[in-house]
Amino acid sequence: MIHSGKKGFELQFHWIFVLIAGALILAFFFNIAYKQKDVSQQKLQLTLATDVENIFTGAILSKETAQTLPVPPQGIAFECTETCTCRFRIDKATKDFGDKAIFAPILLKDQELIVWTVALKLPYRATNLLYITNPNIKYYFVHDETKKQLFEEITKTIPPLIQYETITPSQMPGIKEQDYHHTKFILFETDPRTLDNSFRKASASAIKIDQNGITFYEKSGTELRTVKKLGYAGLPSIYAAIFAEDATMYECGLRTAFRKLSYISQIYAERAAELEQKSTEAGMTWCVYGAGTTTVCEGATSIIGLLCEQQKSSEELATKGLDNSLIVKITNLKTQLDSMNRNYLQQSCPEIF
Amino acid sequence: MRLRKSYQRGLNARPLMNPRGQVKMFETIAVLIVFFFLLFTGSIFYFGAQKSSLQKEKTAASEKYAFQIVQKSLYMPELDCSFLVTQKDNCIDKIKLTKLGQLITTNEKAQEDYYNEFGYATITVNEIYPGQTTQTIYNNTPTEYSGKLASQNPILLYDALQNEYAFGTIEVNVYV
Repeated sequence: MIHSGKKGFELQFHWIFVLIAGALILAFFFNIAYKQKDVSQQKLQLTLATDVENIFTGAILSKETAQTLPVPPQGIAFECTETCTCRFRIDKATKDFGDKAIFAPILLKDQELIVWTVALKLPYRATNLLYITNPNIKYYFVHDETKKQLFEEITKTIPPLIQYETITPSQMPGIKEQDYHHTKFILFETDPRTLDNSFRKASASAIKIDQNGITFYEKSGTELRTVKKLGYAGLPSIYAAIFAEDATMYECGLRTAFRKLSYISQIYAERAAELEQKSTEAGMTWCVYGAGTTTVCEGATSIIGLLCEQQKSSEELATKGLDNSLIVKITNLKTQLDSMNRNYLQQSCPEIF
Repeated sequence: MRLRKSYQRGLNARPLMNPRGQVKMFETIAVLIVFFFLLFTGSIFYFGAQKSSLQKEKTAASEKYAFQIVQKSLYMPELDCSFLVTQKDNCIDKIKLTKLGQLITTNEKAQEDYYNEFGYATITVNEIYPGQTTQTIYNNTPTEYSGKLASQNPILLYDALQNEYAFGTIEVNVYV
């Protein structure tokens, strides 16, 4: 009896040992497989994100072009925080926008991306703005037949790759939701109307463009509620508002552009001062650019004065946000700078830009 | 007598586990040790291969990054030759070149912004003909780096005052 009991104990111990060892081996392999899957997924996402970043860099450098680009199956998400930390994301892999001014909806997937680049010239090129969309985003351009000027000016340069539908303000409430990922209403000098009931659970937003600025609306039920009103500096910034997810992305993108503008304006002001000095030395005394006495900008007049003002205003816009009065100032400076630059050419002086 | 009997019983007592069972147990342990040894050796090879493929990908990513920097430096609005707001491709304005270099070295905020844009890199413009000058626009060389990716591209250098062009190259070194 005692003998068989001991044998039974031995046998039981043997099986327990086998079970523990088996479980350990299985756990080991499961752990490796799980980690491997995780690592390879992360690697793939990171490679994708780097490739996509390269594509965006290439696209942003190409001049005034629209092109289609393949989209990864996971889609690409674009987001900007209130503190202007902007990034795009493919699943868990993220990349900062960096110095790129990108304007896109929050998520683009399933269909090819449409990428369009436009240079922001105020009046010289500050940077290229990159607009991204896809056919899953529906754009309705709402305009009154009597107020066509702004609408025509904006739609004239939109490339045919980007599709939109034109409707009148009275047609807006009758528009039904059509299973798009997002619907955006672009209102030209007209207020938004209540949307159809089919939009109650759909994703939709609107912007209103008029002479005073751009008003951003978000959907609440079937109503469009005002979120923010911001200024714009020329057509490229209007396009930025059309393609940006919200007011935050629009503001952050433009702040990036204005930061660039401030550096470029400073370079142009210093270049003009050097041109003035060298022109005088070469006997071209009529080429006056208006450099300051102590520093380039201190007491500067003529075109250098304007360039210094442009530098100061754009720096303020980049650091403090889009102040409407400063945007108006920059737009006025653009016209003055452009006209002055042409005068230099007529006087056989080196032009500034 | 009683003591003797109990001593004898002790000598005749069976061990707790029989020797055959012990041998079996050692066998199993030995098999497990060999198994884990093989598994361990296999893992070393596998993870070694993984590491080398990761290294290759890292190198490819660095090359792509370097290419991005080269592209960016070639199309910088800060340097372009523009005539009545029209840009000329692959052309750098000589005065702008000097001014941008000065801006990056003297302005801390600009230094920070351009560092975000170009990272660890040096961007140098060389005039080859008619003059032979070298000018560094951006220099951020790390104290330690594992590799350097260099690229040279031909460009035109514009002298706005003389309205003349010179031939040159833009050299971009990216440190990884």
